[in-house]
Amino acid sequence: MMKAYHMTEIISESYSLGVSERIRQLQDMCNMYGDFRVAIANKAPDGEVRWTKHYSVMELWGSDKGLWLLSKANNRTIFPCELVLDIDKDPTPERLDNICQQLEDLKIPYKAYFTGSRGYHIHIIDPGFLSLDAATAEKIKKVWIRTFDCDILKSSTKTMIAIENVEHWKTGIQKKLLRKYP
Amino acid sequence: MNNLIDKGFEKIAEEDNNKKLEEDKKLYELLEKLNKENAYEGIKEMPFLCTNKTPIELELIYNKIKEKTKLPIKTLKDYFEKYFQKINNKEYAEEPSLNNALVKEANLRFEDPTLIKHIYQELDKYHKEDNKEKIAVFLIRASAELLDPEDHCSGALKGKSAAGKDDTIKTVLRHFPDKDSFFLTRGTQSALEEEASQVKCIAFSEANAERDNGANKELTEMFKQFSEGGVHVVRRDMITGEVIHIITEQKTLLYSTTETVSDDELQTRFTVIPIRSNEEKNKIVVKAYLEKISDPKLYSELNYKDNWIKTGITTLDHSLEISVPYATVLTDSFKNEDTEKQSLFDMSKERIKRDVKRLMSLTKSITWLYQKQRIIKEYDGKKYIISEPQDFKLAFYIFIDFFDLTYIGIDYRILDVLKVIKELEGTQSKEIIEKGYDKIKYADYVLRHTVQEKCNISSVNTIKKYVDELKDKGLIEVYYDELIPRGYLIKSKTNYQSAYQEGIRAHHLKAIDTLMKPYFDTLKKDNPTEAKAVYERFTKFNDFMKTFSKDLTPSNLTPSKSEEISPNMEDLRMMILDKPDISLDRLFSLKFSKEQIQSALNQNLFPQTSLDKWKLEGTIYSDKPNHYCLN
Repeated sequence: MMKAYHMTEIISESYSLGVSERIRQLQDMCNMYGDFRVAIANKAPDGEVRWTKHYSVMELWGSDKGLWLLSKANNRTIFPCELVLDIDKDPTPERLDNICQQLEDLKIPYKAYFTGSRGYHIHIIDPGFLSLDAATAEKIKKVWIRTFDCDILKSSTKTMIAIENVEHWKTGIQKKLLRKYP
Repeated sequence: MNNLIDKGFEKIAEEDNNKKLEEDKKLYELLEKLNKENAYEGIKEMPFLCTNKTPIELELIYNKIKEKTKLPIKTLKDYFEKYFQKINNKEYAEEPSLNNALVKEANLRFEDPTLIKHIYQELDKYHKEDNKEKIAVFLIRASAELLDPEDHCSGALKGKSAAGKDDTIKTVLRHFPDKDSFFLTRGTQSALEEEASQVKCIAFSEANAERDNGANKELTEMFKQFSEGGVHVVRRDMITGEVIHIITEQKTLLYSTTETVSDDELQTRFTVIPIRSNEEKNKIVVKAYLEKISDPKLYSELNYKDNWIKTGITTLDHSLEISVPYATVLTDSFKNEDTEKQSLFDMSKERIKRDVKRLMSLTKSITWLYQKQRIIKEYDGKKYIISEPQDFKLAFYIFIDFFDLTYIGIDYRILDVLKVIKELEGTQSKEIIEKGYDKIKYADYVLRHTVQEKCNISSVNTIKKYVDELKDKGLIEVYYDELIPRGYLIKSKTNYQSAYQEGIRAHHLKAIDTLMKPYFDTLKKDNPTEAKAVYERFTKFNDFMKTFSKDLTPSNLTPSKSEEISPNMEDLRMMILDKPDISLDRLFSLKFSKEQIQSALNQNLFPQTSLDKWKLEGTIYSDKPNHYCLN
């Protein structure tokens, strides 16, 4: 089992750019979609992957130390109103285009990102999910994920994904927006 | 319109529909398979259809399959009941599946005329010796599979402690489906009333009705009810106040006991199977065990849960009734060796009613096992297996010894004592006269301690118990003069066989062939082809039995020495009276304890000469006048 590290053990290895933007982005997300959890993942020099505990954004927001930790977070949980299509199998630009086109045909608004690692994430925010019970929402998420043959694990709101516009913990490459609709 | 959510719902409905279509397709394919010769290939696919289904959905599938299948309905019902139960209990146990290789093996063996030998060999892997006994217990258990509850027979395994009674039961039960039997060490009446209907056979590891606080003593009455007629109970549920009516049909019960005496009613309802042991058997059992643990292949083979008999029994048709067309000729008379007219069954005896019924049930049990080799006829919408004469002959041959034992009502260990008494009669007149008894009156008597030695019974209490039992049954008379040590005289009164009802006897076995002639003649007239085939099978069976009967000889084993009761003070007193000059070493070797010997010293039971001798030897010392202590 992976060991959970304390924030301070990892911070020193973390990134230094865009501190206030990062915090504001997470605070905005929290304001718009409700509280969620964040974590810091890092690779030690010996190659060991280290994960912190999952912290609630609302909790971190309340203290200076918390804000400082928020600025270092590079992973977050999926929002209850969010559907993430993680193209992990055969992550080619053509496949991304194909899925995006299908979504556009269905008039489903989305934001497609390059994760900074190897795949693509398509984030679809739909407040309609909030009016459903958790099981049904997950069922609908699963059916869409299956339709596009993406990673089924991303149907759970407990799964961590890379935060938008932040460097990926594996590669240090930023998660960038590639395409959006409308 | 919310595209994501609404279209999501549409997609879910579409997926469910596709799944249903796929299931319907599978069901259709399954039904096709069930209709073909190899129906069991199809049954393997049932878990796919039955998992995560509601009871209503399951019932629909069950009904669909029932309409089309060639499978025995009972097998199918058992299978589905398991799923119903799973849903009710919210338990998701391992999916049952039939091992194809075992099904094949079972089919081959169940179609072989020497099936009984295959069964014997399979049982012998797990339980050594007790050859006829284990087959008898197996057939009793197999009677539980018969459709008519009245045919369910019961058995009691009697023998000394560690003789192998429980092992015999366990060996037999492991060759029947696990869900069909209970093997219990204890049970309460109400729980049994409720649960018994779920199983075909209930086995108790120990039931000692005659002993104070004996195991499962309180269940004796229930045993009687279960084994004859079944149980009908009306009671009120304490919580809901609802009146519950429980009806449980007649069951097959097996129990083991170390007791020699049995409740009369219990005794006649159960076929008594004696389980004996001796040094030879111990050697064989220990050797087999050591071989088993030394060979991983053998160990894993013997611990493998499934076996061909179990699989075979699951696949046999449980919905078939059994007809015994030759039953009527069995009451005809025949001429014995002295050319006197005789009947197979002695109708003047009361017990013959139960004897015949039980024997026919066991015959049916054999016929059922041989169903793949018997003719099946349909009458009035029901299918009947037609029993053949060899089924009766085999049942007769296997149970003949046990039936006699059951009805004589005396344990084999006590009968052995009686046998020794009869052997010794008239050979001990010299010793008896020397002891001072009347020459004319007591010359034919036998000394009890000689019988004890001859029977290899080390405990005086045990021989006393056996002699008392024989005395109570009126089979021996005794005389004892308190002044004469070791002078307890015994004499047999009458022949024990004439004192008890004689049921089915061994010499009747030969008569069966003669009795069956009219049956074969009639069959020949009605259906010559069938008659020829049946007669051929009968002759083949007779040839087979010539060799197989040697394997099945009941164990002529002497009773086990393991059940020895430690001698008490009374025994010590008698011992000293009998042999005043007995040494202390000898007393210790006879398992008298230090405390007992010290107590005898305190009570001044030993003669002064012995005391002086032991004092000189230093084994005892005197702490005060006329009082000695063990060193």
